[in-house]
This record gives sequence, structure tokens and C-alpha cells, in this order.
Amino acid sequence: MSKEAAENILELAWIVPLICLVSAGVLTTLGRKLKEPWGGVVGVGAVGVAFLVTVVVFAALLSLPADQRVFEHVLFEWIPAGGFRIEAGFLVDPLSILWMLLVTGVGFVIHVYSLGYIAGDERYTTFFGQMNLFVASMLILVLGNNFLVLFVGWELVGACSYLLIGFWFKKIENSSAGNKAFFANRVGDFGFLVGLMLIFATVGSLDFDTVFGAAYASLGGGAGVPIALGTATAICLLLLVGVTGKSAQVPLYVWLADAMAGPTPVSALIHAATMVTAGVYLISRAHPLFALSEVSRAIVTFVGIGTAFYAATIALGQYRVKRVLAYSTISQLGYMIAAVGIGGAGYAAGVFHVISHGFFKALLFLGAGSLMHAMHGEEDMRRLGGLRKVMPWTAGLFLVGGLSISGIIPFSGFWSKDAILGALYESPESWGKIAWGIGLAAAFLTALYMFRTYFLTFTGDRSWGDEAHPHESPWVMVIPMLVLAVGTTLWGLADLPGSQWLHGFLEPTFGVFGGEAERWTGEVVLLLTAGLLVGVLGVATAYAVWSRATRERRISFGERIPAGAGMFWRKAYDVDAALEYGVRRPGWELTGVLATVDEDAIDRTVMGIGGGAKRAGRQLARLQNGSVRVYASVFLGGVVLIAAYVIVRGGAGL
Amino acid sequence: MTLAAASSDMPFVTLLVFIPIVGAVLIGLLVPSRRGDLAHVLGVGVSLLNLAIVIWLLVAFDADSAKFQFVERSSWIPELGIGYLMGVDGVSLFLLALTGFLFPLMLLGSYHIRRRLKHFTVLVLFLEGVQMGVFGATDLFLFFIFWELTLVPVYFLIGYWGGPDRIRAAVKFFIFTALGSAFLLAAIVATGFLADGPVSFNINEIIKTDFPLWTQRILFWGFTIGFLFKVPVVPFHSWLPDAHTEAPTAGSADLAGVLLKIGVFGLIRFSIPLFPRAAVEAVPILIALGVVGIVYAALVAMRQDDAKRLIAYTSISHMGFVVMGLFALTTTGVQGSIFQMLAHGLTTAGLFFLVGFFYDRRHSHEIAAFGGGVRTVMPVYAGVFLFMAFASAGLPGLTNFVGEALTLFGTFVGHRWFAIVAATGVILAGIYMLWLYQRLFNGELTVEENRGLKDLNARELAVIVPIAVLVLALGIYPKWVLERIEPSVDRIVTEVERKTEGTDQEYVQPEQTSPGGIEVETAPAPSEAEHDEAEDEALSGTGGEVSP
Amino acid sequence: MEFLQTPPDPDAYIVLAVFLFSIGAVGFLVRRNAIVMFMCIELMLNAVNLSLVSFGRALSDLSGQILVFFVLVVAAAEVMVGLAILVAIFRRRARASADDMSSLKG
Repeated sequence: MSKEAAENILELAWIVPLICLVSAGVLTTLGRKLKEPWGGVVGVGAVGVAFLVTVVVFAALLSLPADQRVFEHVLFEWIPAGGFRIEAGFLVDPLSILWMLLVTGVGFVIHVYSLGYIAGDERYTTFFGQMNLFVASMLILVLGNNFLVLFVGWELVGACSYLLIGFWFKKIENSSAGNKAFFANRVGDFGFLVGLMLIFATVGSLDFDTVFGAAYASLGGGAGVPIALGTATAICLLLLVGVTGKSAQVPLYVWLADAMAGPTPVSALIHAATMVTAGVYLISRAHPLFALSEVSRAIVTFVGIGTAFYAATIALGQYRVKRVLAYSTISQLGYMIAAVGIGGAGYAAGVFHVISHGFFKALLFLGAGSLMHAMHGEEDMRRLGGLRKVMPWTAGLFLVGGLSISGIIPFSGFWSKDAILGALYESPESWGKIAWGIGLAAAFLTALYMFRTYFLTFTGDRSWGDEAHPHESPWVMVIPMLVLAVGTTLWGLADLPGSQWLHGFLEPTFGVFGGEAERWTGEVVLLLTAGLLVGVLGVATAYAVWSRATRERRISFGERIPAGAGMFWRKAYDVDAALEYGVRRPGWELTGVLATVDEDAIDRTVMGIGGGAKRAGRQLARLQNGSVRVYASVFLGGVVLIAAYVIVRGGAGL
Repeated sequence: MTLAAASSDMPFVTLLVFIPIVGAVLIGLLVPSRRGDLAHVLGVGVSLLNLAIVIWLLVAFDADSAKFQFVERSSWIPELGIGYLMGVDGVSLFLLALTGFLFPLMLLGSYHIRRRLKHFTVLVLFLEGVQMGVFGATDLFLFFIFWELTLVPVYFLIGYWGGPDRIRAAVKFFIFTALGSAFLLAAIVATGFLADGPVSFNINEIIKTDFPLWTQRILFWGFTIGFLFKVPVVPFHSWLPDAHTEAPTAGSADLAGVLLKIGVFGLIRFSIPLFPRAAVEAVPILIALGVVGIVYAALVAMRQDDAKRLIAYTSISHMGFVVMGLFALTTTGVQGSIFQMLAHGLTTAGLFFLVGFFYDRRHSHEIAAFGGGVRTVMPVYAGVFLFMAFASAGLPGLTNFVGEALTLFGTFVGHRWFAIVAATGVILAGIYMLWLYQRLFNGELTVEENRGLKDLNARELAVIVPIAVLVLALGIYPKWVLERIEPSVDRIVTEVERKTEGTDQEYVQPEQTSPGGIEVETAPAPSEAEHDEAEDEALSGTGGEVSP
Repeated sequence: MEFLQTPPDPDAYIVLAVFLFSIGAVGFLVRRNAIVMFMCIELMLNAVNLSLVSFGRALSDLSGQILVFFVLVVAAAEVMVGLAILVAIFRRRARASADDMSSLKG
């Protein structure tokens, strides 16, 4: 492909989100008028075409020499106002194309799966409309060439997430879960927005080019407005607030577990594979800013790795499959955030894990969905068990996903997680090794909770009642899982130590910040072995404890839950209660007080002033007794007085 | 080209003002009262004609000019320097357009009114005319007349066609705005007489005067308090929730869509350019009022049990952004402020229409009357409502986001902490809007009366869809609007900067020349004491002129 | 026709006007019958008219005379409206005492 042809193709990258946007518009407008298979066909077809176009764009990008693989194109001027001029433009570079492939690729697979999962729902067409809107929003997020366009996508994916969590709106809990997600995200977005304002006030622009140019200038290279260290730290931490909201990190992670109220394909696509990785994308994208402030990078790393560990401990205590997966997602996102936080080789490792996680977590969720589909929504492990025999495909594929997330060779999870741990360990930053230790412990917990879930669900005695008739899911659901399983098996090849194709591919984006490619050294081998051992240990422990769980033992799990500390742990450390008493109720009281103030104090004061005027008027009104002759006398008296005044003054000057 | 040539001396504003007024008079005189339906159809026709003129105006408007266009000048009361002066600039253009756009919809959405539909139509058309006049007038006195005339139809709309507590609401509305008007009138008269040269109310003349600082302060606050009542800014807001709650749908839509804007419009047109030094001095107070309004009204909104009342409070919150952006006194902030007015006009009017549709069916806009689950019976309605709720919560891609972002970014540059506090309004907007939505639409249908509700009909869709389309279009391509606002705003902002240059709270000698090409007729700068004397003379002198 | 050329001394006319006005004013205050009160108002107006005419003549300025026409017209209109009101009241009350008509108080 010639350079010109490639650029012509790249120029058309905006078509990808547009396809999804148009189909979303059509599907939501038509709604029920479009009957069952056709809504799905349009929805899936649009994402499929979007994926194909993305592949073409990817090919075009690959055909360019590595140093020219950053392509920017402005579509139109979006908000021109005074010094604030924002263009609607897009940026195709290795980083964004990877996310595009992830979003459209995994998105397509999950869309196909949804054809089976959502079949028969009365809002079938709307579902695909909203899913397509999500894909479009996510593409806008990763394609934007400035922070504001990114923010547009950032907010829109939040809105789509809200819509889809509350998709079955008749259950008020689903709607509340959607609200919770949106509110938590909004808190994050507030931080993000303030961060953007600070960037704009400092640099005078929100274009990636200009802002990062300024960052390079501060580091001593290139022209641009240098950014002071304090400002850079503030900006990075504000962006981190946004990241904690969108990517469900401590302390704003609270929404993600509840978000599982949505249909399972939604959980797979939005709350596992794509949307929640937006925070990783943001930090990767803004890496020159983070390079300025070591403090902020340390904070990001520890927020990430801390979350990874913390969420893994919660996942271990859960009984509902989707909840385990939700906390597992939070935990895995923690790894990615830690990786891009520490920087260097961590950037490529973080991105590597994003896609790796996209495969295996989507696979696990689809497995859980398949399970729920078969069990009429039952997902409590205490009432499952032994399902391997009735659903062999689902069980096998779920196992593949489980092995991958647990970091067992040769699945991609092994390579990507160890890339992150390696990046932490080998980082020149002094605190990297501490983070590595925490990460390793979390990896053990990951294997443990994942296989606890697997064994309790698919092996041992069956604990479901006779009314359930589990069955293998239709092919339209199994094949997407199969595709994802192949993906998670092979994706590890993309960044094997020694070759590190991905690392090299991302070089145009990260440049000098991207660190050195890894080679096979003794240290690397040791690290990999350590990671593998930890995973195997976790699986083995889980096998020993849970693999032969009988029906009685499962049920007794429920009774054996100890009060106090144990209960506290099972309830995810009761953060919800803390939020209820610490945030919601005080907030509610505050609004109550203000509403009372508004009605009583302000309104009464104002109306009181009016009332006072009214009373004064009533007193004065007594003068108006209605007698014409009294009026006439007063009138005449007045005339006489004025005349007297004029005569005494001598009449001059009038 | 021919269109431009034909348009250049069109008396656009006069047309916009008098087409509806003449229409109202003709309908009032010629259509018999029992033929309310006929009057209504004619009314829609007249307002559509006005909309056509508005569109023509938008096309004919020269986007690059900062000056008043389509200026009309006639002498009216020459003895007092009062003229019939009309003109359009970037500040007023889209407010005229918004007025022209909303009124046909307001009339269209009121077809179901049974009581005296003819009189209703006449009043609404009259209201359209005078509101056009408010935005088009470039003479202070003329402006005031139109300003006061808006009170009359709105008073009757609320007081006659309103809800159960309508009389109280109407009176409250009248008293509040009339109180504001009292300040305004006093300030207008004083300005006209105190300005250099012969008595004149022409703002293009008055703007050349550099008032002494204390005069500026007094006059600025006279104008500003008058306007703040109308905006309304907390703590002058307590008339608005009542007025909104009791007003008929068209009245609420007009209040939110247009009437609140005339307050801010006054601030941009008069308070700031005429008294720049006092305005710059007052910036912290006014930005603080705006920010307090954003947060306070958002919090109070959460506690409302009536959907209309809740939306009324969100309206106050949104207008806080407008005031804040305006007094940031940066081009970005002021442009954002004007854009936010448009955005708010569209989305809030849209929300009021939507609540009105429900009211037409159930005769209540209490949240409890929805009781949740309405989405099951009215899916289209719920969808459109969600769209508007998202717009109101400032979702990007929809118009409010552009306005809010611009006001925030424009304010942050100079007043960081205010902007940060204001940005919490983004969180709060999400919370109150989605929580409202949940209480209205989600969950199981609990209120039995709602079970048989019909979804939106064609006429209702014809009202709400144009609004929704504009909300989306202006969110995606606001440039068309922004680039027309920019020159005028830029001129105001640079003028203010020029006139306040070097003034650091204290009065210094006014500048003699203006780089902006506008002649400044100040006499050789007198000292402060002399200035005060001159002021006294001016007062007594003008007093002598009026009395005979 | 000599008296038309030389302006007469207005004093006499003015004195007459003052008397007429005083009679009107006192009458307005002391009488209760609304019709009589009306006549008193007319008396006052005519006193003013007389003074206007005589000043106009004395100062050779036609404005005085012109003003009188206005006053006449306004007075006529006023009487018409006033009498109509009176008739309306009379129909309801069968009396025309001004003291009874106090229902329009504040």
C-alpha cells in the first residue's frame, strides 16, 4: 500500500464511530417498529462492518513506516469561543487503533452472543441501539485528538452504561444500580473536568499536541509553555480522580459490583472489556504529563496495585458468580492502572493486559451469562455445582478463561500479568518492588477466587433444585465464547519476552517513555516462574478446598458465615453501609435543611416584607374613607398650601 | 447576493415585534370568542410567519460584524431624547431566534386549552411581540417599556390559565418583577440624564460617557438588582418556583425559555458596557452569587415533590452558570453564558413541555402522580424525557454541555475556586435529573390511573421533536452560533478591559482616546472633586428641565 | 368698537372669577346632593374660564381663549360621564347624596 493510499484510508477512520452512531440512532428511533431478528441484524451488522473498517485502517497504519504511524485529522471546528477553541478531530496511532480493535472486535463477538441472550426480550431492538451507541461513544473516546473530545466519549460511555445497567427498568434495583454507576462516574468526571480546566488555564489549549508539547518542554525538550511541577501533580491527580471513577478504582469502585444488574453481555462488554479500561487509556495517552510528576505516578501505581489486592480479597468472599467477576475486574483494572502508573515498560504491559483482559474477562462473563441463561438467572454458587456435565462447552470455555486470568502458561493472562509484574519489579523507581510484592500476593488471590468459582459452579455435587433444567446454550452463544477463548490463548504471542511485537508497535506513541523491550534474562525467567508458581499455588489450593463440595457443604456455607469480621468481609467490607451513613444520609439531610430554608426562611422573609408593605398600606387606606367631600376638602387644603407657598416665596423661580 | 441586498435595510426587529402584536389585535377583534380553535390556528400561523422572519434574519445577519445591524432609528419623544431605536447584534440575535422558535411550539402545545382559547392566543402573541422588543431595543427607555409590557401577559397567563394556587403565584411574580423594575426605572432615568451631552437614552450615545466611579456604582447596582430579580439569582429567586408550578405549560416554557433571559440580556447589554468600572468591581460578588445559585438550587431541587417545581429549581441552577460565565468577563465566559442561555431555553422549555404532556393526561405534575413505571405505558415519552434530562444534566454532544463547559473554562482562568465549586453542579445535575427520572419512569407501574395512558400523539411530537433536534444539533455543531456571537461579545469584553485598564478599585482619570475607533467625548479629565460638582449641577440642571 | 381696541382693565373680571370660584368651592364642600356638587364644579371651571379669557385679552395672547375651548370640551365630556354615573347610581339607590357613595374606599 502506498503512503498516500494509506493516509487516504486513515482519513476515513471517523467512519467507524459514525457507522455505530447512525445505526444506534436508527435502532433507538424505530424501537419496537423493527421486529425481532432485524433489530439485531442491523445492530450486529453495524458493529461487524465497523470492525472490518477498523481492520482496514489498522492495515493502513501498519503499512506506514513506524515513525509515521501517528495520524491526526481535523474534521471541523467544534467549539470556537474566544481563546477556547476546540476542534473535532481524531488521532489514529498505535494506542488508539488497539483500543478500536478491542472495542469493535470484542464488541462484535459480544453483539453476536447477545442475539441469543436477549432474544425474546420486548425491548430487543432498543438493546442493540444502546449497545451500538456505547460502541460509538467508546470509539469517540479513544479517537479524539484533544482532551475535550475524549471527555465527550468519556461521559457518553457513562451514560450508555447507565442506560444498559437499568435496561430491565421494571426492577427498581436495576435502575438504582444504574444511578449509582452514573453518580460515581460523575464524581470522577468532576475531577477530570477540573483537571481539564487546569490544563487549559496552564497551557491554553486542550489539544494533545500542544499539551504534551508543553510537557516535553518542561522536561527540557522542544518548545512550549513549561508546566510547573506542582501544577503537573495537581493535573495528574485530578485526572486520576476521573480514572478512579471510570475504571472503578479505590475509592470510587463502589458502583461496578452493582452494575452487574444489567444484562450479562453488557457486563461483559462495558463493565469488563472496554469502558472500564478507559482510565488506562487516559493515563497512557497523558503519559507525558505523568512523566512530569513522580509523586503522582507513585500515587497512581499504589492506587492501582492497592485496588488489585483489595478487590481480590473481596472477590474471594462473594457467592454470586457475576459479583466475583465484577470484583475480579476491579482487581485486574488495578493491575493495569499500576502498570501505566509506573510507566516505562509498564505502558506497553498495561495495554497488553487491557486486551488480554478484554478476551478472558469477556469470555468469563459470557460463560456466566450462558450459565444464567441455562439456570433462569440463578448465579449463586451455593445453588449451582456439577454443571460441567450438562454444559460441557460452557464449562470448558470458562475453564480456559479461568486459567488465563490465574496466570497459567500459555494463556495470554500469564504473559500480560507477568509483563506488568516485571515492569513493576524492574522499574527504576524505588517503590516499584513494593508494588510488585503486593501484585504477586494479589495474583495468588486471583487464582484462588477464580478457581473457587469454577469448582463450586461446575464440579462437585449438583445443588440446584429439580425445577431447574440446565442445558447447553445455543450455538450463537457458544461460538462467540469459542472465539474469545482462541483469542485469549493466542494473544500472549503478541508480546512475548524477547520478541515484544506490541512493545515495538506502541513505540510511536510512547517514544522515550516506553522503556526498553524485555530480553530473556535470568531475572525475567525468575520473575515469570514466580508468577506462574503463585498462580499454580492458587489453583491447587482452590482444588483442595472446593473441588468436591457436596450439596450439604455448599448450603452450610450460608450458615457458617461468622458474624462480625467475617460478615464484614462477605459484605465487601460494608462500604455500601458506610456510603449510606456517611454520604447519602447527610446529603439527604442537607438538602432537607436547604429546602426548608428555601421555603421558610427566604420565601417567608421575602413574603414577610411584602406582608409588611401590605399592612402599612392597610393603615394608610383608612384615609381613603370614600367620602367625596373629605377628599375635596383635603384637595382644596393642598391647593391653598401650595398657593401660599408660592406667594410667600414671591412667585419667582417657578 | 440578492437576498443579502434585499435584507440589508429590512426593518427586521419592527417586523418581529409588530407581526405578532398586530396579529394579536386582529385576532382579538375579528375572531369571535367562541371560535377559540380558529383563533388558535391563526395564532400558530402568525407565530410561524414570525419564525420565517427570524430565519431570514439569521441568514441575513453578517457574522463578522460586531456592530448593530438592521438598525432602525426614528425619533419618538425628542424632548427627552427617547427614540425608537432598534438593532440586532450577536448578543441579541439568538435570543430573538429562540423567542421566534419557541412561540409557535408554545401555541401548538396549548391546543387542548378549553377556557378562552382565543384570549390565550392573543396574550401569547402579544407576549411574543413585546419580548422581541426587549431584545431588539437599543434605547433604554424603549427597552424599559417592552420590559414592563412583558409582565402583563405573563401575569394573566399564570393568573387565569394556571394551576390551583395561580392567583398567589401570579401576584408574587408580578410584585417581584415590579420591584426589580422600580430599581431599573430609577437607574434608567438617572442614566439618561447624567450621561454627557443632551438627554438621551440611546445606549450608543450613553456608552461614550465615562461616569464617575460612585455614579457608576449606584447606577450599576440599580440596573443589576433589577435584572437579578428577573434572572433570578439566589436569593431573589423565590417567585420562580411558584410561578413555574402554577403556570400553564406555555407559560412555564416561556418563563424558562425566554423571560429569564431578558434579565441576563439586560446585564450584558446595559449593566456591564455602560458601567464597566463598577461592573469589574462587582465581579467577585456576582460570580459568587452565580456559584451559590448553582449549588444551592441544585440541592434544593433534590427535595422537591413536584416535577415542575424541581425543574424550576434546576432552572435557577442553570442560570447560575449563565451569571457566573457572564461576570467572568472573558470572551469565552460571556460567549458561554449566551450559549448557555440558548441551551437552557431549549432544554428547560422542553422539559416543561414534557411535564405538561403528562399534566394534560393526569392533571397533576406531582412526582407521586407518576409514581414510577410510566415508561411501560409511554415508552416514547420516557425516551424523549430521558434525552432532555440528559441534556439538562450537561451530557456532552448535547447543547447544555457546550454552554456549561464554556462558562466553566471561561471562569476558571480568572476565578479558579469559583469554577471548581461550580463544577460540582455537574455532579449534582446528574443526581437530581436521573433520580427524578427514576421516580417518574422506572420500576413497576404503581399508579393504577396511569395504566391506560396513551403515548405521545403526533401534535405533541411536533412540539418536542424540533426542540430535541436543535438540542442535538447545537451540541454537535455549536460553531454556527458561536461565531455569530463572538464579534459582539469580543467588542464588549475588550471595551470593558480598555475602560478599566489601570483602575485598581480606585478611580483614576478616564482615558482620552479609544483604540476601538469610537470617539469618546469626555472633557479634559476633571479631578474627582470637580467631577462631583459637575454631577450636582447636572442633577439640578436636569431637574429644571423636567418640571415645567 | 373702541373697547375692542383697548384692552380693558381685567381686575373686575378677575374679582368676579374669584367670587364664582369661591362659591363653587364652598358649594362643593357643603352640599350633599351630587347634582348640585356637579353644578359647583361647573361653576369653578367657568370661573377659571373667565379668568383665562380676561388674561388672554389683557395680554393680547390668544392662548387663553384657546385653552378655554379645551376646558369647555373636557368639562362637557366630564359632565356627560359624571351624569351617566349619577343616573346609574340613582337607579340603584333612588337618592343622590354624595355621602352615601363611599363604597369605593380603600
